[in-house]
Amino acid sequence: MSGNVTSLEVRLAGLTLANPVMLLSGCAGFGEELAMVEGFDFSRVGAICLKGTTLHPKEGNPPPRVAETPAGMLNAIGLQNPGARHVAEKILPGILHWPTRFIANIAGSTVDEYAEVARIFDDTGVAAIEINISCPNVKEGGVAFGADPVMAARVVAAVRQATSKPLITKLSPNVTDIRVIARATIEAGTDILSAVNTYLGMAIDWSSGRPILGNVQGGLSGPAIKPAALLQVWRVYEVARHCNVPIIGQGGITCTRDAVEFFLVGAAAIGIGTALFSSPLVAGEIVTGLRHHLEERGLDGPARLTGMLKV
Amino acid sequence: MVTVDRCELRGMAQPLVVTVLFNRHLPGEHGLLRLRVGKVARQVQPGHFVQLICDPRLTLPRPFSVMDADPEQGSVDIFYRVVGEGTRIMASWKGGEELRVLMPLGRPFVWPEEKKNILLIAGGAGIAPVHFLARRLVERGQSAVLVWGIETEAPLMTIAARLDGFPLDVAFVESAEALAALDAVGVSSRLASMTPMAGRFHGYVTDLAEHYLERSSEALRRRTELYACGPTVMLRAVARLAERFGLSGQVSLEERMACGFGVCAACVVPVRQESGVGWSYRKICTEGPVFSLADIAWESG
Ligand SMILES: Cc1cc2nc3c(=O)[nH]c(=O)nc-3n(C[C@H](O)[C@H](O)[C@H](O)COP(=O)(O)OP(=O)(O)OC[C@H]3O[C@@H](n4cnc5c(N)ncnc54)[C@H](O)[C@@H]3O)c2cc1C
Ligand SMILES: Cc1cc2nc3c(=O)[nH]c(=O)nc-3n(C[C@H](O)[C@H](O)[C@H](O)COP(=O)(O)O)c2cc1C
Ligand code: FES
Repeated sequence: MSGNVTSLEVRLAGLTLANPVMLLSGCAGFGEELAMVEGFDFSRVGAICLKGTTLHPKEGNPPPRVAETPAGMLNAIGLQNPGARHVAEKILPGILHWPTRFIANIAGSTVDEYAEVARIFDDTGVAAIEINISCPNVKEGGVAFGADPVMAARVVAAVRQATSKPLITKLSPNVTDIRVIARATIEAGTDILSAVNTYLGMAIDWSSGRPILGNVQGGLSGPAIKPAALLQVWRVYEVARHCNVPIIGQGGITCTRDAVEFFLVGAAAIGIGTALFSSPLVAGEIVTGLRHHLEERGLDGPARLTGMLKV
Repeated sequence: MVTVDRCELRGMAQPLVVTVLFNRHLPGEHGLLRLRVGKVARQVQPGHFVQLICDPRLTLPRPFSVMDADPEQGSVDIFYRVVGEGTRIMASWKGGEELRVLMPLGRPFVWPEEKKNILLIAGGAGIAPVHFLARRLVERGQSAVLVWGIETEAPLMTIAARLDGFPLDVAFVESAEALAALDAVGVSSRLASMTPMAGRFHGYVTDLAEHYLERSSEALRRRTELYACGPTVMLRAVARLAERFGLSGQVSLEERMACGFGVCAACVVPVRQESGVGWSYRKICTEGPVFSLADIAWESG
């Protein structure tokens, strides 16, 4: 061990976090639900991304909304949320004083809706705004914003205009070349990238011949997607490193080892989603594990791991 | 939306490592699992459920209602039916095995007023929370009758009851009059099944419940409330019964879950708006699993 003092603090563009372990959108509710779990310590997580929020309340998809798959799960929640104003006025005041950072995750079916939601959160104490560009663009015929570099850039540019908060763009892996979208959103003004969101998939009940999910298709997450997600982060890093745009790596992380792997392929911070469902306290364990890992190697911070893959 | 910070749920769900005390195999691929859970057994009430990790390699925990809790012994019982991968693994557990659980979860049944007569209706493994409630009602000396629809050949209930040291079928301070009326028309059992079986009511358990209500006096019926758990089709029938006889009641619902503690919004059910117009999806794991019968928008969602 060298004389370096290890600090887990990370600075992601304008966003400073006490540690680089975040809870991912849709897997941590609106923050407050986590208080139900005994031993959950908000000061142990770097940040919590709130559930995807739209301008107007959304009921979401009919159940069943989840299906377990080999080493993973599908979800089709359908962005159930009480609408941006309710979140800003009724929920945030109750949680913002807790000892972590909260990040709004925004969604919309038009460019204007994204901008409007961003304006609402710009007026609140959230630490950053994360744009979920995986939503279908209703106006232009349903193609996901995240699959088209021009549309993705338009959303990011519009949100950039609407807020001075640090901006995270969450990339979809359901594209031919994720680097093209990453580049377009960086040029449009994103400060941070988040990679990756869920992979599209479906689950069938072979005996009844019906899809399991009420929405027929859903998003695949959990350990099943980890190898694919690692490659996507590595690709995004190719583009983002030259622009000093940090990446929040995610996709199937369940333990410290997984987290370290994401740092090695280019992540500056990591996110945990699906693993919370079976281990609500896992983020704290990964923070401890990460500290040990860095200390054993005499590294002064997680940034020393970022992109250190030996190839 | 529940604001946990300000309500009774704060810090309620405990992530624990617990020990299997025994795991009895019962007919029809059922099992009775007793877990040593420690102090938390004191907080567990009828209607609460647990999230069990059947195997660390399975991505999601499995939700199970608590079938009984012994605060002195620090144990809880789970009654399960083997239906897939997770429950198959459960069936292989032996005494001494350690596993991870999150408990207790959900909101329990709301206690009925003491003068009420409680008609408990269970379908299949839905007996678990109903059995727990039945026990507590009996301990309190409350008037209660339990009907259970179960397809298994062997008298499962007697087996489960004997294991428990709890003679389920006789311990009730029963509303004798209606039961006698049932006996008079040849329905002496509190068990129902769709396949004809000796000593059982042949038909839906809700038909048995209907017979009971039809044969109850007006006075008894007016005091009766329905408490039920089982498949959704059964609960819909319970809702129709409640409407027909003008009764209120509570049901424990099931839906596919991921977290079980309110963060994912997987487990929803359409619930009527307080305004009376329309419905909205509510999370079963934190706002339920027990709901008032009248609140569920059975026709929607
Ligand atoms: C609040 C609640 C209480 C329950 N209490 C009991 C009980 O006391 N006894 C009992 O036998 N069963 C109970 N169930 C149902 C039980 O959770 C499922 O039978 C179990 O999850 C099946 O797991 P599996 O891996 O064997 O089945 P698989 O079909 O292999 O499971 C695949 C996925 O589907 C989910 N799933 C499958 N069936 C159901 C179902 N009926 N409800 C919810 N999720 C399901 C599983 O959790 C898993 O995520 C309860 C469910 C809920 C929501
Ligand atoms: C139940 C569920 C709901 C999700 N909801 C959202 C959402 O609202 N917005 C979003 O950007 N991502 C959402 N996600 C994606 C996660 O934030 C995360 O990017 C993805 O699941 C990959 O990480 P994981 O494998 O660790 O879960 C959701 C994922 C799950 C499992
Ligand atoms: S199961 Fe996650 S919110 Fe109910």
